[in-house]
Amino acid sequence: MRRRNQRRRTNTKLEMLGKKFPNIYSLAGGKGKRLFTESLTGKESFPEETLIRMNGKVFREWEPERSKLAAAIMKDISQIGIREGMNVLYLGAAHGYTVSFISDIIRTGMIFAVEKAPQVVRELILVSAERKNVAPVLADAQDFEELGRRVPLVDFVYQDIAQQNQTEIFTRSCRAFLKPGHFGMLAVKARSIDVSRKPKEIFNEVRRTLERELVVVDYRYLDPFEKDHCLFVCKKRN
Amino acid sequence: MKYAVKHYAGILLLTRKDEGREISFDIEGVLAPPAGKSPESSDWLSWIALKESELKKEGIKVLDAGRILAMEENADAVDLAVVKKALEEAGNAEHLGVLRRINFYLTLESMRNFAVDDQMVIQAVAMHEELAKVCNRLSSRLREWVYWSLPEARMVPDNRVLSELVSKKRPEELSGELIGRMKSVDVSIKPFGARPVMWSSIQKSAQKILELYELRDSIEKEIESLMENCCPNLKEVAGALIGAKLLSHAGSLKRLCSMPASTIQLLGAEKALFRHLTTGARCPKHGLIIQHPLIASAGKNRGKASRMLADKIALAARIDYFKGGFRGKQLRKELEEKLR
Ligand SMILES: C[S@@+](CC[C@H](N)C(=O)[O-])C[C@H]1O[C@@H](n2cnc3c(N)ncnc32)[C@H](O)[C@@H]1O
Repeated sequence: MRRRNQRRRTNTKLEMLGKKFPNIYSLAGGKGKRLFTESLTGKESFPEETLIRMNGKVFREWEPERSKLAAAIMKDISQIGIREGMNVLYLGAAHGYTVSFISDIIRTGMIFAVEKAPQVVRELILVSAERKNVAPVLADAQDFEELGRRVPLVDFVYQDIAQQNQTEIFTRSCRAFLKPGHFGMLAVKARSIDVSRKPKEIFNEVRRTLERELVVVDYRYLDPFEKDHCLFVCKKRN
Repeated sequence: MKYAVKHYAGILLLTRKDEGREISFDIEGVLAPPAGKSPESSDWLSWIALKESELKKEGIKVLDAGRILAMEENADAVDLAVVKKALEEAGNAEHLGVLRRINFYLTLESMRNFAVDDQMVIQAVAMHEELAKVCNRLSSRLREWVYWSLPEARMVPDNRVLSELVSKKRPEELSGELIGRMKSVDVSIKPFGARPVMWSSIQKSAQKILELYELRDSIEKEIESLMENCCPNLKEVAGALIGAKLLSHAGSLKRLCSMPASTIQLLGAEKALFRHLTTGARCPKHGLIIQHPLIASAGKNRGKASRMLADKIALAARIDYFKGGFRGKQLRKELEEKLR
């Protein structure tokens, strides 16, 4: 559900979310936490975004119902490992909603946004056209040869593709593109792995698979924002 | 071959040595005409001339001005992997920017080659269905409205024909014509006994409704030619409109061709199927394909006929997806023979 338009509010106070979450802000007071990032473009990126203007800067609301990363932050994940200046590989970028917020966070860095469905890439291209730190990559995340030609080594890997072998794709991507000692994040949708088994069981299994190669630093179930989803934060060993 | 990234005259170039000569590629595409300007536009040409003369002064010849990388004409001219390596070696933020540019243009380029035909069919068929509904509703509404002035309109059962008559004729004229059509009139009725109420609005509505019918027809024609282009086999076996609706239910040609025939047979009957699964009602035998003339004429054998048709449709969709040429005529003949 989208919140009703409450754009251009003034006299509100945003504060930094914390040391572990650079460039992410929360709205003080009021009911419940609401997340914001400073818009790189100085305006909204998607229709019906809530904007706040403060000290000549423009902040965009980041809705946990539309972004799994935001949902994990709302559920108090301990850290996300994305900082300003980082280069990011994002697999499963879709229209670029989450991509646009990571773009706000990394600012001077670069995000390589991989998506295989041409229908949504049309919109992703528009996001990239406005943001100098978003590179659209129309390719299949499983096509390592192609990605190898188009994507450099990065400081952070984010993956959100609802596909049965997603865990394997993620570990392979981290092996190929993530610098040692850096973080990666995997959003898992239980139903896309197996509809007949219990989500908890699937998540445990994913965790064990991840731990064979990576350190699972933290994880969060994303309900009530997303049903039967889990987001894992991993660290690549040095 | 070794590439380097260099700045000349404010333009970022990718250069390499080729038989002692330095060849440069305009990686940022800045030598391309600015958006909205034609390549012939004079200020662009003069700008290019200026840039080229500046580059010439530096001893650089620009290859493929206006192209990001000489991807197609000179497929072997640039190996992306090598370029990426050169960029990585250079390794600062600016060069990541170049990598972004390259990805941007590669993505744009493959979007251009992406076949949207099946998606266009799906959009068009959705519009067609919506228009058909709207035409029906509006013309029924019009009929009700006309009855008040012209009860004789009952003589015209078809909504579209009635809309056409109303849009073209004056009420007295129309009334006379319709009374003339009545077979046995017991008591003589005068043409146009009642007073026409709001006739000009009625007539304007009728005209608009007709236009909607015409729009629906023209979209239908367009669907036929789109289908001919993207799925000739499916079109031949299923018919243009049914084929298009199958595509729309499946979501894409790719999804349709990966479906088993038994699923295709029931596309469009999802509600009945769900009822069958939850309440144990009778299992539906056919979905959308029931509109196919071969099924309609199969009488008692409908179940069998729709199974065979679905088989052939599945095959046709696969041939279309994998661009296996035209075998539709043959498929259709086999089907007709089996059903005879
Ligand atoms: C749930 S959406 C991602 C939403 C996005 N992360 C966001 O929060 O804005 C999953 C996307 O992954 C894409 N996808 C699925 N499999 C893929 C693959 N193998 N390679 C690249 N993208 C894929 C789908 O097309 C879809 O757009």
